[in-house]
Amino acid sequence: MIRAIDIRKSFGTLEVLKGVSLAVDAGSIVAMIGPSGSGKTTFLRCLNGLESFGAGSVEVDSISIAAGTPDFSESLRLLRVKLGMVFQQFQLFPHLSVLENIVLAPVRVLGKSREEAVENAQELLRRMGLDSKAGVRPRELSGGQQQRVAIARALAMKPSGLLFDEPTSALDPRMTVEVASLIRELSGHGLAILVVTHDMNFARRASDRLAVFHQGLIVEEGPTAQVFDNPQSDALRELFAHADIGASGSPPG
Amino acid sequence: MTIRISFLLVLCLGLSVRAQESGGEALSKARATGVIRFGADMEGGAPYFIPNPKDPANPGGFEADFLKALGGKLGIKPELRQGQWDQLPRLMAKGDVDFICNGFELKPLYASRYRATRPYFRYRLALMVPGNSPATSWDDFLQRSSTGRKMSVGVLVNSAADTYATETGAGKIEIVRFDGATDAMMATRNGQIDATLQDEPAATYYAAQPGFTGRLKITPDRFGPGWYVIYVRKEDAALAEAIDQGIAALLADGTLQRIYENYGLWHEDQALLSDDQVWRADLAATTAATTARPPLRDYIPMLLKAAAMTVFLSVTSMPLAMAIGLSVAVGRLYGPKLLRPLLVVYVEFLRGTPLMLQLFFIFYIVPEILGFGLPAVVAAILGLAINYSAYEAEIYRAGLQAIPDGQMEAGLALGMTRRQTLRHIIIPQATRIVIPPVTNDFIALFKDTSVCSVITVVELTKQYSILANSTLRVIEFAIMASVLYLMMSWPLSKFAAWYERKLEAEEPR
Ligand SMILES: Nc1ncnc2c1ncn2[C@@H]1O[C@H](COP(=O)(O)OP(=O)(O)O)[C@@H](O)[C@H]1O
Ligand SMILES: [Mg+2]
Repeated sequence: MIRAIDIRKSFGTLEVLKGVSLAVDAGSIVAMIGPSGSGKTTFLRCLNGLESFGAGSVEVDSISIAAGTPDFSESLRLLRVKLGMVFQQFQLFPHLSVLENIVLAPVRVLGKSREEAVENAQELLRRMGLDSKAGVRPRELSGGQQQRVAIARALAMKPSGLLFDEPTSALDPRMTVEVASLIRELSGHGLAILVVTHDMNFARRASDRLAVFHQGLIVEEGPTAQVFDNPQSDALRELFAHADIGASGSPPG
Repeated sequence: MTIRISFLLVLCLGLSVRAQESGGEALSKARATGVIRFGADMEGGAPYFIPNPKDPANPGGFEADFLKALGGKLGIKPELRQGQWDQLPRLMAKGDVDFICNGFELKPLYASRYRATRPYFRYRLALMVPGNSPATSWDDFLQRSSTGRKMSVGVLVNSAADTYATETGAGKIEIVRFDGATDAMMATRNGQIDATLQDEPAATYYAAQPGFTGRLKITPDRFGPGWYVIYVRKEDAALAEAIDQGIAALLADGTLQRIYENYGLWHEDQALLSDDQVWRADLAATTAATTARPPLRDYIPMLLKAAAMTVFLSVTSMPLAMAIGLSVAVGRLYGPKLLRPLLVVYVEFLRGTPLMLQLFFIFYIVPEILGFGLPAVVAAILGLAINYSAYEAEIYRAGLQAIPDGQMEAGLALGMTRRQTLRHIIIPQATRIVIPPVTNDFIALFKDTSVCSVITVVELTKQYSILANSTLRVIEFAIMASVLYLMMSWPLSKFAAWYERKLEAEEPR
């Protein structure tokens, strides 16, 4: 499971996170929604230590880091192994083939043999429906395919949690449904998944629980359907208004 | 390629036309203006010319004093124009100066092309060895070299010593050619060569200087005597005759003897200067002698060997430069905060000082600090590598900075260390980006290897210069050397251009 406790973060005088706590259980999907620029990406980056934070702590399984944990600490590195991240822009390695993108870290970090890592990578590519793309460079793939390679790359480390930053933003809108079902499938294997998004429809479709993020704080949290049907915060009602769907409206299909 | 060669030809033809225009009038012009320009090299040129910091236009030295006295006799003021010693005859042929007077010996190559005056000095050669050397004379030195380890002898390129060493030491010694007489002495003192053969005036003057006393000594024998003469252009017969009369007058009234005595250079052999029969016979024989002109193709093996040295210097120093440059760039971007300013200084220092100075420093000055000298080729490779490492560091820095921060983060997010991410993700991508600029730098370095000639490495340019100056077949050898350079650098620039296009095609942004 992933647990964030009272995370605070400022950029200079701009206080972006004002004490954010959130827990994601194994096998469940939490969607964090909030408008652009509200600090969702910053929160994710704090969780795996890409961004240092002023106060609070993060736990993934038995590994924890706290504010002030140095950049090069071993626990931070181990936490990152446990907590995969799928970046908004995927950040595939353009100089490596799809297969090598997935094989690199298991060999270098987990010390797996190359054969084992390759076998595992091919299995993951099959699951992602990309077995024919193993040898090509990432730039030759569509956005959706690149995203699935990024997911496979993260899964190859056998993490217990997975972070998604705006998984629908770089995709054709029609792909949204597929990504949602892929994420659901992953949580079915016991992963704790946190998705940050500003896409209400996607959040509703893909998550078990919903956290509404507003002005540096989580203002509302609960089971997705319940929160959608009965919004408590002004922030969420505001989001609905902008997203152009009703609180009780069914997602357009 | 052909365009460049024909350009060179046009250039050379232009020069020779200019030389012809200025024919035969040097003396009358000088009489009209009251001054005459002559060529000499003051660099390491004592006791011939000794720079005078208080009055730069009025250097000291026995030749300077002689020319002043000669000018007095002719009623013309000689004006010195500085040039590199082995280039002076060409300066005169071009018309930049009207005569040359700087320890030029009477020899067929020059006497057949230019007009030699009567001699003004009888020179002898002297052998300089390190203070602890067992050699007692030139013959003894040759003997030791041919029986034991083959020894190296430094000479001023194309000097009488060069000719003499080549003739008497063939097969017994290795001859290392320097652009300056004192450079050869420094290399001998530093143990980089075993001895240097010098004209006696230079040897006795510098052996007594602070940096050399006790560490260099002159063997007592004197040998290989000959005449120093003034050369004028062939067509300037009138000038030559006027100079002849001036020298005769200086000999007759004892002025010349007084001047040479001031410098401790009047020895018994100088009396031959007044023995007209002796010098006239030598002058006539030398002027009439024809120098052999082997066909150009005979020189191809020498040029190819020198080209191989050029390639060797390039392919050994560039990988070193890249390795150092990459380390410096990584250190500047990702290294400890304290190290970064030092690396900035490293880069700026190397980029802000000339390569030639750096090579001089490594070859001539570092031995003073270390106590032992680096062989010239090693010093050349090191110097090139260090100099270019600064440029490669800047290229790599730009390349590394061009990789989005997200790539480092993606590596870190997978649990890789910074070092691993740099090694497997950032540097490989940066390397692809820097291939075209690095290839261009490789071409630049390839051409910059020519600077290594200043520390006696015989690469293509040095070989060209030795051949051109010793045969005066300047145009032919210039073309041959240029063609060799082009044949080597052209494919490289093609590669750089091709790779750049390939990268652009891959990265449509
Ligand atoms: N490295 C940074 N330095 C300064 N301000 C930043 C930095 N990263 C993000 N911010 C600011 O923090 C706020 C939250 O950004 P972000 O987390 O990207 O929001 P979201 O992902 O919700 O769109 C924004 O105002 C952004 O400008
Ligand atoms: Mg964001």
